[in-house]
Amino acid sequence: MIPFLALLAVTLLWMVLPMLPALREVVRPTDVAPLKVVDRSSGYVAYFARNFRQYLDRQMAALPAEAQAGDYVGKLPDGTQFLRVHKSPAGLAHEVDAGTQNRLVVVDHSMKLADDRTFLMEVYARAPTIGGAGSVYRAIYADRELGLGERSTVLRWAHAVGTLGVGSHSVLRGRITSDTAVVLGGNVVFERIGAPVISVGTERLPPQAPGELTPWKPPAGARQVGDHLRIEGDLEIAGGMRVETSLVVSGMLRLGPGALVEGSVKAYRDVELADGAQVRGAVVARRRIIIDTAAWVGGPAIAEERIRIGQGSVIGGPNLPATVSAPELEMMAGATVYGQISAPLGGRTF
Amino acid sequence: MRLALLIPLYAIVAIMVVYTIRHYLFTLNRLFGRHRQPYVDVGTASWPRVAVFVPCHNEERVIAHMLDALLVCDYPERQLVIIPINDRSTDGTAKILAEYASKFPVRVAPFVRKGGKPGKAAALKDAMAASDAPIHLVFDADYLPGRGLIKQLVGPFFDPETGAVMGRVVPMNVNKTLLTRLLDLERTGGYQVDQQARMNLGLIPQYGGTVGGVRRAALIDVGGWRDDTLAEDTDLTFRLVLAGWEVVYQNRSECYEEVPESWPSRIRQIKRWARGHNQSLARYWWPLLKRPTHVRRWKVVDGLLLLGVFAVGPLLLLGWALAIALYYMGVPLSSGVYVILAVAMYSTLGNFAAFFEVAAGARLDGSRGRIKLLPFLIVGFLVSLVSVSWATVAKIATFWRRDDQRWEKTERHRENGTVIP
Amino acid sequence: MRGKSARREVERARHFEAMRTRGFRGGLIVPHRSMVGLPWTALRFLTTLALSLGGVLLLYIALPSLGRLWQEIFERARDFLGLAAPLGDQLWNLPGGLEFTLPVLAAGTPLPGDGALRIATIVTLLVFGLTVLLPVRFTPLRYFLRLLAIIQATAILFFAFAADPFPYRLQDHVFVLLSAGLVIMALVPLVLGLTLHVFDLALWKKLLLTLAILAHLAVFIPLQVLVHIWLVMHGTALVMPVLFLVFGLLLDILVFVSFYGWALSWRGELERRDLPPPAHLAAPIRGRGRGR
Repeated sequence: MIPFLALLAVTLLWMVLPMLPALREVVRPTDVAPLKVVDRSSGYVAYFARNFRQYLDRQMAALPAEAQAGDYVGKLPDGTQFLRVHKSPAGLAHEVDAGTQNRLVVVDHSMKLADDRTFLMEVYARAPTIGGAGSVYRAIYADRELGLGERSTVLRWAHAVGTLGVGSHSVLRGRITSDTAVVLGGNVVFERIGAPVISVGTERLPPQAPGELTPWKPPAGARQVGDHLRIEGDLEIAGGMRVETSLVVSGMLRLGPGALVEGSVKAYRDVELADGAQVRGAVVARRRIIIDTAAWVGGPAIAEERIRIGQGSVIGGPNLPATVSAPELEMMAGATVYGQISAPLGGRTF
Repeated sequence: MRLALLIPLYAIVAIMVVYTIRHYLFTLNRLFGRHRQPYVDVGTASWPRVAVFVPCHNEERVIAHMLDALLVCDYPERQLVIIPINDRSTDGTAKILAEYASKFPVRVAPFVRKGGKPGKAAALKDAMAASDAPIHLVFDADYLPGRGLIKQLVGPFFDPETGAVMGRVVPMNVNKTLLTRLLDLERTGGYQVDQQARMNLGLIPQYGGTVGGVRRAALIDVGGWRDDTLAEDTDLTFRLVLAGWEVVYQNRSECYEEVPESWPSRIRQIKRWARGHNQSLARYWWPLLKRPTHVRRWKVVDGLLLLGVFAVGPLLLLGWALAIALYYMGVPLSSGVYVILAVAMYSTLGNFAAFFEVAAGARLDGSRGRIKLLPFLIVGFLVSLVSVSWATVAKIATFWRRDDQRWEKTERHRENGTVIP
Repeated sequence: MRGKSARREVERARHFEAMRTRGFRGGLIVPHRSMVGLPWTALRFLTTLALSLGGVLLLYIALPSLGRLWQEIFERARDFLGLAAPLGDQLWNLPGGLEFTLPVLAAGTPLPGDGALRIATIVTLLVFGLTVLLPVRFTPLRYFLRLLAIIQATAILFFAFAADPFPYRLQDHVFVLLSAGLVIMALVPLVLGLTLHVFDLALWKKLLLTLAILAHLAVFIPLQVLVHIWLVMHGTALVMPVLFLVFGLLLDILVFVSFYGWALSWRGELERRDLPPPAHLAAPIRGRGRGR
């Protein structure tokens, strides 16, 4: 019996050996906290910018009196290197090494910054500011209007309370937001933008009055599903047609010139809106959305591959905020979005 | 006689293999495949009106937290109404709801049930008429939605085909017992991997009855909430899919819940799920198999497998019973069959891929440490296996009896002053 | 100095890329867990393939040594336990000229008499009764013991009432366990390839894990079988069903799952660590703007 018990003990010990980490985790947990779910940033595009502003307000309020105004070089209460420029951009030359600024910069006065500057810390502009061409910003917050020069790069975010203009050939990584408007130059690369109005260039096509519209008749085989009509295969709606319902198409959907859909549309492949076509609701595509010239979409435009917004086309409206969301996005001159753009793999203006 | 036992045994083994492949592919897809959350970036829109229903039966411990969370969400106030459904509560629930309704008369509009069938499904059915908002969201009373969750759950409804939306459920009381830790792992595998993979592959994510919602027009289209089912969520999922609606899973839309902290509570929960789910299996396997034209072939296959999830446990036990019988008959089963059955014993789903799924989900969550608990999952699986099998056998044995509808919910353990993570 | 300038530009680009994911206080900002996947590389695919097939090949080549090891373990254990049974072997000629032997212990298979059946019945009933008395927090243990009791009850019923003789000898039991154990060992590299090597663990960790599991099972399987042998020789064939169905392959798989869970709690190569902020936040880096 004793030899057997010894064998049993050895066997059990050997068996339990790989279970020791598990047993230890039960007895002395190392990973037992619930996943952090509450996320204040979720959905709020200007979250990082607002956070920074609140942080800076707290820090600046705690500065000594001599640091509260005028040019100043020193540290914020939390130790962050800090530079306030009051008089002119020459103040930025302080301790700059080859055009690179390592301090957090507060610009007190309206000014035009020099070209080809690199700001490795945040910039806070309290007055209307124009950035130099070819400059790189880690992040920039403007209390008024902000103009980024040509070939600017923003690494994390940029926010302006006033209009935010972006020069051509700029690269905007992260979140670009404004409480007023964002105006993009040509060949600008971006990821996420949020503003009441986002436009490419300043010229907009005048709104097109809808022409005579003919009621659209569904094809044979169309099936009513709740509040929408489902069509199997591809669907082309001729120009000048009026569709009174929402549509779900298992193939490709094309709206002809001037066609109007009173509801929302979805296609399992592409959705194409020809010149002047309009959709009052949302446009959703499993692949691409291609919007030609002077078309209009009232609701969100969501595609799982790419969206192309043609010249003068509009998404949303002044009292009709909307989101454009696709991994890739192209916006032609005069294209306008009222609300938010999300293009995680990159958007580009033309 | 031997053949009469061998054929079903090999059929059961084949089913285990099919589920193994299914879950393995899901995990590979989640890890390496194209990720689909197309609606998650809808942050700005003309937000539609939403009614948030919160079925309550004796929820005095938790309902105030729930209402507080909903009242501070960032959804436009005038577009949101909160409708707690007080179904014959005998504790302080009614008083709490009256207080909130008095403080927020427009935003909180309790619906009181004094009669009718008990149970969550019946409560939702009755309360549905209380709001004509186009979107109806449903939360259980012990959930804690974050500020941005309502907008996230509404985003997918801009797609006209979306009939229902489901978010991710995250256990809050993970650290209470070994059981809660195991359930946390199961949820991780189920949501982070399984549901998201089904979404990625265009299959059928399941609407889970909470942290989610339904389009009112879709609900009306499929006949509204059914109160003759124990799993109104699974039932609704398949009715929607058969009617031509989509169910969307949004992994980003997370919400805290309380998981059972005791074994009896867990057993009641899983028995309820098993009965309800198998009821849906009985109802919808044939309509699904007939394949309406708008339902793609792979969706049908996966839909059938999804319906069968709670039938796998009893099948597994049957498989073992057959194997035992064949053992006594001296039938030389191949080592491979014993290996498959042995592996299958480690999971109610009957496959090692469940471990792969759980481990992958936990790694994606950044929670590596808890993966060490994997061998203890057998403990949870064993209890589930027996409970699910018992519930299924009991239901089959009394199939002519209508199920007693009553309020069945997870015990609440939250105390006043509990710190919410 | 063109090369120096290009290097500087690359360094700047790297710093900028690092800055993109740093908050204003230097904290790391990572994508939300709901949005992340695992990048797949050709190298990982190749190493997965190599480790899986290599593991099986290694096991195959080591089979003769494994057979000898098991033979050795059986011989020593037999003497240690004082088992009166000759030890032989079963030879397998494998492709490639390899020879593999499975130990064969020619022990008799004692059948239960009435006394053994009565004792087994009482013990089974006691175990079942105990499960009723256990508190609810031991529910998994209750269910496990009940399953054991049910399986044991089937054995008791068989030996008490079955017309046919019990179809297995102890040698058959041993043979199936050893050969099924080998099947499991052969599956280890393949299952790891499918479910672990796809992750971004360091190559040496994956290799070490494969070897560790195989080495563990190489020792555990014969020890496990020897425990069974002793129990059957002293407890009669009455205990064979429970031993085979519950304490056989299930334990081998439990060992694998334990190793698997432990390994997947290890840090991955691609995992971002919360490193301190980049050096530029403390010291200037050289830029490309006009010098002063």
